[in-house]
Amino acid sequence: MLKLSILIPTISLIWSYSLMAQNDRITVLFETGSGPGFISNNVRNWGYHTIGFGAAYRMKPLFSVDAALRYHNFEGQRYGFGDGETNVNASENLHGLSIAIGPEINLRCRNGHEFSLTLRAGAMVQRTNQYLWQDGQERASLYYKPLIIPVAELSGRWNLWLNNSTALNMDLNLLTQSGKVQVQETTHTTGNPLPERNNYRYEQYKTYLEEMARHDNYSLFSFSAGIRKRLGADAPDKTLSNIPTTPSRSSWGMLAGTQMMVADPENGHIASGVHFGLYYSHLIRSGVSAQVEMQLKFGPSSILPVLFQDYLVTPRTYTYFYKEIRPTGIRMFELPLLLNFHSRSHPRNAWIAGIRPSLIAVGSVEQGGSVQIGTLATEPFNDIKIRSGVREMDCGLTIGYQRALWRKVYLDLRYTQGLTDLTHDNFFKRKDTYTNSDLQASVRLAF
Amino acid sequence: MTRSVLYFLLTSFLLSNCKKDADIDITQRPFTRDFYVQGNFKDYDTTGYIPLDITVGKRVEPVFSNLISCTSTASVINGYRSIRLDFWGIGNSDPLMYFDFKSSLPKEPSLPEKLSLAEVEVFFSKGKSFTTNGGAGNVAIGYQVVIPNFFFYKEYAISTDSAGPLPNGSLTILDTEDYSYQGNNFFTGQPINFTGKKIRCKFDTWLHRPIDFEQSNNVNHPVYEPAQITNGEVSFFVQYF
Repeated sequence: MLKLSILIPTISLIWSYSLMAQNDRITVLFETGSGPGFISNNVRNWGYHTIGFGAAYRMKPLFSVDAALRYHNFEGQRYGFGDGETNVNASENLHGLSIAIGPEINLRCRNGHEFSLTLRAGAMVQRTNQYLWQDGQERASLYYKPLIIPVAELSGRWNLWLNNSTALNMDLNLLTQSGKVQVQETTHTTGNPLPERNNYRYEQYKTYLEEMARHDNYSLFSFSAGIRKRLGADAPDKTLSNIPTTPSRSSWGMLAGTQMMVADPENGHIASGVHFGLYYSHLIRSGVSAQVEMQLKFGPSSILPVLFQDYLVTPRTYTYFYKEIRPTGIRMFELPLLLNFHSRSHPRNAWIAGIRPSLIAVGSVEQGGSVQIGTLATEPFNDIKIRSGVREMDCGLTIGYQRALWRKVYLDLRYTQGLTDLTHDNFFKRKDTYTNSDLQASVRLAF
Repeated sequence: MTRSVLYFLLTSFLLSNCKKDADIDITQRPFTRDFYVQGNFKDYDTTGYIPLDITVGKRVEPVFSNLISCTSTASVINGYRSIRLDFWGIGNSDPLMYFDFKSSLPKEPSLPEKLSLAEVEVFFSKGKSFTTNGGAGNVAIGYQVVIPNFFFYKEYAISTDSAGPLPNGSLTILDTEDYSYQGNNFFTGQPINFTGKKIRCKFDTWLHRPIDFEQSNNVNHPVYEPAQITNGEVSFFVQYF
C-alpha cells in the first residue's frame, strides 16, 4: 500500500517521468515533465511540456552544484479581439531552450527520505509562433525572432530510497523569467495580419497586434516522478527478484496515469491530461493475454472557439445575432480492448495492440446576444450547442509497451490514433482534423 | 514487429481523416452593404482628401450608439415635390448627411402626396443628372461637420448657393432596382412591408463649409469656406405606394 500511495498521486498528476543515475559524487538526470504554465496574455493554457538533462556534483553530503539543460514547449490561447462585426482569436506556441546552474542543498532523513532544493540561474533562447483566426477562418501566422532572456529555476526533489540502490523520486520545477518586457520582432508572416488601412478598426487592430508581440511574463511549472538508481551500490536490488517470470492467468486492478493529447498534429497543438480506471486481464494462450479496460480521461481541449453571426440590414431595420462557443475541457470514457504479447526472453516486457472505443464529451462556455432595431426576429442560435459540433463516439488503434516494475505494478506506454475527425467542419468553419489521439502513460496495480 | 508498426501507422493514416458534417443547418447571413454614402471629402484646411463612409447598419461606436440608418421622406414644399434622404446615426438628433431632391415642375394638385411607382421611375430614371445647387429639378446635399474651436458644435456643409456662388456639382443616377423589406409597427409590433427602389448614384459637389459664426443684427451667421466631395457615391431606398 505504501507503493500505491506514492505512485498513484505522483504519476497520475501529469505526464512526467525521470530517470536518475548516481555514481559516487556525480548524478545525471533525464526527465520529461509537464504541468501548468501561466502566461500573462493567455486566456487558456493547453499544456506545458519539458524535456531536460541534468547533472549534479556532490561536493559535500549537504551541498551539490547542479546544472540543467531543458527544452520547453508551451501551447495556449491568447486573448482575442472583437468589435462586434469581426472576431479574432489567436493561439501561441512557444519553444525554448534553457541552461541554468546553481547550488543544491540535500537533506537525508530517516526511513530513506531525502529532500533536495536547487536554485539555478541562467538564460533561455525562446521562439514564439502565433496563429490568428478571424471569424473561424485562418487569417495569418506570425513567426517571431528568437529572444534570449534571463531565467531562474527553483527545483524541489523528494527521494524515497527503497533499498541501497533504488529510490523513487518526485521533482517539482518552477521556471520564471526575469528582466524587462521586450517587444518581439517578426521574422516573417503568412496571410494578412492587418486589415485594409481604410478599415475603421485598423488602429485598434494594430494595437492588438502590438500587444501580441510583447514578450509576456510567464511561470512554467512542471512535475516529474521516476526512478533513481545508485550504480555500483553495495546492496543487491531486491525489487527485481519479486517480478514473476510468467504472466498470471487472470488479474484485475486499477490504473492511473497521464496522457499527452496530440489531437491536432497538423497545427502542432499538444495538451496534457490525466486518466484513471479499472482493468481485467486474462491469459488466452501462452504468451498472449487479453486486457479490457474501463478508463476516464480528463484534459483541456485545444479546439478553438467558434462564432456564429447573422445580419439582416435594411434601410431602417437592423438585426444582429451572435453566439460564441468556447470549448473548455474534454472528457472521455474509454473501453480499450487490448492484446498483450509477452516476451518469452524478457518476461518483464510485453507489447500491446488493440482498439479503443471512446465516448466523448466536450465542455464549453457560451456567450450570445442580439441587437434588434425595428424587427422582432427569433434568436436563431438558441439550439446550437457544442455537442452539435463534436462527435460523441470514436474508435482508435493502439500500440504500446508494458513493463513490470514490481510484482503487481506495471508501467504502460502506448500511443492511440483516433480514427475520426471529432470536430465537424461545417460547425467550426475550419478544415482542421482534430482526433482523439494521445500518448498515454499508465501505472497499473493488480489486486 | 516492424511490419506491424508500419501497418498500424498506414491504417491510422488512412482512417484518421474520416470527416463528417454536423447534422444541423446553421443559417448565417453576412453583413451586406446595400445603402451607403462614400467619397472623398476635402475640408477647407486640408490639402488631401479624407475617406467619407456612411454605411447603413455599420456601427460607428463600439456600443451601437451610432448605428446608421437611412430614411426617405416624400413631401410637397412650396408646391414642388421634395424627396429627402437622411442618413442617421441612431444616437443623433440630426442626420449625418442628407440629399434633398426637388421636382422640376410643381406637383399637379390631383396627384397624391405619396409617390407612385411610375413617379419614382421617372424621377430617378437611369442616367438622369441633377445639379447640386438645390434649385427646382436639382438636389441639395448637406454634410454634418464640426465647427472648429466652437465647443464641438455641429453644423451642415451645404451644396446650395444660398451662401454665395459655388462651382457646379452634379449627381447622376447609375442604376435602380426593385427592393422590398419587412419592418414592424413600433407600437403594435405588426409587420409592415416596404416596397420601393434601390437607387445608386454618383456625385461630385462643392460645399459651403461653416468654420465660425459672426454676429450681425444680434443674429449669428455662419462663416463659410469652400470644401469638396469627389468620387461620391450614394445608394438609397425610395418607397412607392
